[in-house]
Amino acid sequence: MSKFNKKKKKSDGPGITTASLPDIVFMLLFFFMVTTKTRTNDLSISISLPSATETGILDDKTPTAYINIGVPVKALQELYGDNPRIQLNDAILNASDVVGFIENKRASIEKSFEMAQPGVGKAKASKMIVCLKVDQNAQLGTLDEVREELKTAKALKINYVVNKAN
Amino acid sequence: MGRRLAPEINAGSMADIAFLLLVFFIVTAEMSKEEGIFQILPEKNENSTITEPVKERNAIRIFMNENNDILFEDQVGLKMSEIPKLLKEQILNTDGNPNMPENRLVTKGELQSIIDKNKARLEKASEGKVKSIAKQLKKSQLRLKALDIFGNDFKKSNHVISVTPDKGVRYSSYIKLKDMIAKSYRELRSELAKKRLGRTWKDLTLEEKKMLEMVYKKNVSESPIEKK
Repeated sequence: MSKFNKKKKKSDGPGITTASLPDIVFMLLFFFMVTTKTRTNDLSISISLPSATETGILDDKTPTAYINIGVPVKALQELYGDNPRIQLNDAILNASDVVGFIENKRASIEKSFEMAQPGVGKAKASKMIVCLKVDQNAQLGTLDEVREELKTAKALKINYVVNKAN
Repeated sequence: MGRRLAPEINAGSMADIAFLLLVFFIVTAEMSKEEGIFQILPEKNENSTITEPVKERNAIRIFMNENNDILFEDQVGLKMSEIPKLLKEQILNTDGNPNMPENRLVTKGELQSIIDKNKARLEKASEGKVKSIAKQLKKSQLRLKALDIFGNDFKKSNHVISVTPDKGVRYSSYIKLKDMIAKSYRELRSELAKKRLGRTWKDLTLEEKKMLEMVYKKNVSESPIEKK
C-alpha cells in the first residue's frame, strides 16, 4: 500500500496555480463592464437628460423601444448639422422613419416572446412602451414630430426618460 | 503502469468567480432601471379637433412660449414653482367659484349602481372580456371603499388641464411643467392622506394610493380643447 501511494505522488505533475484565476475573471468582468457601458452611450448624438421629481420606475418586464433626440456629436456635425436629430438604433434618421422602426421593433418583440411561450407574442408587443430620451436643450418641435409619428404607428404608451431629482 | 491522476483543481476560487459574476449582473441590472414620466398619447384622429368640447369654466389653460413665459388662465409672469399652488386651488375650488372648475359630491348610490352594472356585465361576458370587466368591477368596488374612507372629500371634479406649449419651448421646461402638474396632484393626494389617514404618502399601502388617485383623478390634455 505504501508503495502504491509513493507511486501516485510521483506521477503528480506540477500543480496549476489557481491564484491567478480571480484575476482572469476580474479582467473579464472589467471587459464586460466597459463594453456594456459604451454600448448604452454609443450614441451619435449627445443627450443630457432633464430632471424631474415626480417620476416612476419602468417595470423591466415591459418591452421597450428607445428613441433618442439630441444634437449630433462634434465629429458628425459636418454630416448631420448641429440641429437636434433623431437616432433610432444606431442610425441618425428622420421623423418619417419612426413608423417603420416601431413596426420592426414590434415584430422582433413578438418573435422573441413567441419563441419563449407561443401565443403571448402579440399581447406582449402591444404592451411595448416607447422610451424617449431627449436632450434638455432640444425644442419641442422635434418631439412633436416624433409623437405624431408614434400616433400614426399606434404606439401610444410613451415614457420620457429623466434624471431623478430630489 | 497505473493511471495518472489529474492534478486537483483548487475549488477555492470558484467562490470568487461566482461572486464576480454576481457583481456583474447586479451592475448591469441597475443600468436598465430608468426613471421616467409616463404618458399615454391620444389616438390619432383625422379631424383636427380631437377632444369633446369642454365648458369654459372647467378648462384650466396653461400656455408656454419659447421664452418659457407661462400663461396660467389669465395670469402672466408666473414662476414654474407657483403652478402647484394655483392648480390645487382650481381643482379643489372649495368656495364654489363660478369661474373655476365645477365639482360635486359623489353619492353612494351612483357608485353602487356602477358596481351592479359591472356585475351584470361580468355574468354575460364572453371568455375574452372577463378579465377586463373583472378589473373594472374591482375598480368600482374600490371607489366605493374610497368613499367610505374619504367621505365628503371625495368629489367629482370636471376639470381638464389643457397644456399647450409652443413648438419652440425647451424640452427641459416642458418636462418641468409636466413635473409641476404631477406635483400638484401628488400634493393634493398626500394632503388628504394626512388629513384622513394621518399618514404621509410614503407610508400608505398600494390600495390607499390607488384610492387617492381615484379621489383626485388626473386629467391633463395636450391637444387643443374645444370650447362648449
